[in-house]
Amino acid sequence: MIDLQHVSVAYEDIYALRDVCLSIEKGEFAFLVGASGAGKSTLIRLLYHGQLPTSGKVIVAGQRVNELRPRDVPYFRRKMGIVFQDFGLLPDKTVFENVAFALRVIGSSRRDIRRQAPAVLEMVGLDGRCDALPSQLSGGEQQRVAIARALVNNPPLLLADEPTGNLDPETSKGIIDLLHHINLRGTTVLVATHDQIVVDCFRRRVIELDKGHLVRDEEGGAYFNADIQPSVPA
Amino acid sequence: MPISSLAFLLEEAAKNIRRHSLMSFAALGTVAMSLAVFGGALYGIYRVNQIVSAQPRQLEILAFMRVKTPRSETLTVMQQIQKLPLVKSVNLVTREQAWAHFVAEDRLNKTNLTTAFTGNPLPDRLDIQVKNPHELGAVADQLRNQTLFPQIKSVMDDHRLLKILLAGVGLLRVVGGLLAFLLFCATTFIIHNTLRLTLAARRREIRIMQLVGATSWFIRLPLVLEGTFHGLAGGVIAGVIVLIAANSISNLMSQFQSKLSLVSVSTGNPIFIVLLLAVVGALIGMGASLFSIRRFLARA
Ligand SMILES: Nc1ncnc2c1ncn2[C@@H]1O[C@H](COP(=O)(O)OP(=O)(O)O)[C@@H](O)[C@H]1O
Ligand SMILES: [Mg+2]
Repeated sequence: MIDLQHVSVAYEDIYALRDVCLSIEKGEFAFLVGASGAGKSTLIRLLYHGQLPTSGKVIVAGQRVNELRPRDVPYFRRKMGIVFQDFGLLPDKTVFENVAFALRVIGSSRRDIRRQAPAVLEMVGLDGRCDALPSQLSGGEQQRVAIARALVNNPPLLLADEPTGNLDPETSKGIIDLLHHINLRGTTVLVATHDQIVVDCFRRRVIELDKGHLVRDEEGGAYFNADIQPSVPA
Repeated sequence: MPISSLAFLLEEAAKNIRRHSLMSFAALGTVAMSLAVFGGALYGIYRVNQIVSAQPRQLEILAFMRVKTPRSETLTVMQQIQKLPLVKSVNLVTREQAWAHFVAEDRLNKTNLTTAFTGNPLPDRLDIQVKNPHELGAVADQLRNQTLFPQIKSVMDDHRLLKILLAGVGLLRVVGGLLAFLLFCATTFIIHNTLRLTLAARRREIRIMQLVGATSWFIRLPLVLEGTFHGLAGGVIAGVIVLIAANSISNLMSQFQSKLSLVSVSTGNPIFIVLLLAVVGALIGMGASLFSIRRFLARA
């Protein structure tokens, strides 16, 4: 599903990513961890053609991302859902409209919208709050709406950049739980986070970046490397 | 494109127009004013040209032969004139025709002028049309040359009005063209600016659209529709302003109608000017919005 081969990204003189090789199979669930500035967001942006690598190959869902023509980018992005720390909801639209918006702007028919939007809202547990405005929801609920919007088109891949960054630990667990549940239905999920609690709680594949280098790729890992525990854990 | 998509695009455009109604109002006013001046200049040129062409006498030179000139010689002169490079056509009005016309007019107007004459005192006359109104004077001067045309007694080329009108057209062209260009820039700038506000307000929406895979046309179309609408509406308002202005000027001018021997001082074709300005406005609106969206998306 995701394949990075010797990928580097440079901003002028500093490297955000340096010679990263990484492969994530279809149906996997992985955490992308690392301190702030380690290059997590940069790596996520590469995956949805939000940014191009300085060198190396990026392959996502069978597509060589570097070689996409601009007019193919929209169709490429329909193969994935993307979630951010700020939920990115439209404040003047209801929960239902926010989710339906993602379908409307890719030209889905009203019938598809009526079928898919309620189903995905039910899956994230918000089927009772369709008519609420984002301002009437808690942070966790808003992130659920954002996840529903990302998934309403049934994409095979879900990318999340710090999805729990604005949430308290309890709510964060709920969100990661939901992402797990989504993964169990077959969606490949990659979560960039520096939230130690959720990573340690769920013990899935952990990919660690440090100053742009891939330093660890471990199945069932914890946030910190078990071998080299830092002297003062957060 | 499915109906639901079309509905979505129109809905979004309408929503933007409503949401920024105050800004839209200001933009609309300025666009309308610009287009009105542009349209006014165009319309003025059109009308003056119409007036010029509605005055055949003004575009003709009348050459009166000496009374005793035989018809055969008149015909020779006619051919000579016809060969002049600046002349379009020459028409012979025989003294008999002229007399008959005179008599008929006299009867019609009950002026009883013809009874004073025992015979026909009128000479043969050549009505000369020139190729270019600007060359009227030059041709008349050639005809006045007695060594070339000894048989011509007098030449009438009363083209003072024509001169004024032609100068008017020239002025309108220059001033109108200049104004139109300036206002075209202003209109483009205003629509661009309005859309920039819309774009800023919709930054979040556009970002989401890009992330979920909306095609660039799906993102652009509502905005292009918004810009086009402003241009179109501005054009229609401008058209109405021009028509009202043209009407009052026409009313004013109709007081001089007899002096100018205008055939008609109608307002031309009112739908035409409104339509023209609407189309020009819509095109400017579309162009300006495409331009500003391209710039915005390039930065996004
Ligand atoms: N647009 C940019 N211009 C310059 N440097 C950037 C830009 N984006 C990120 N960086 C740098 O790249 C590095 C990685 O950033 P980022 O991918 O955001 O890390 P993370 O998401 O892990 O916090 C940081 O040193 C950051 O300062
Ligand atoms: Mg980040």
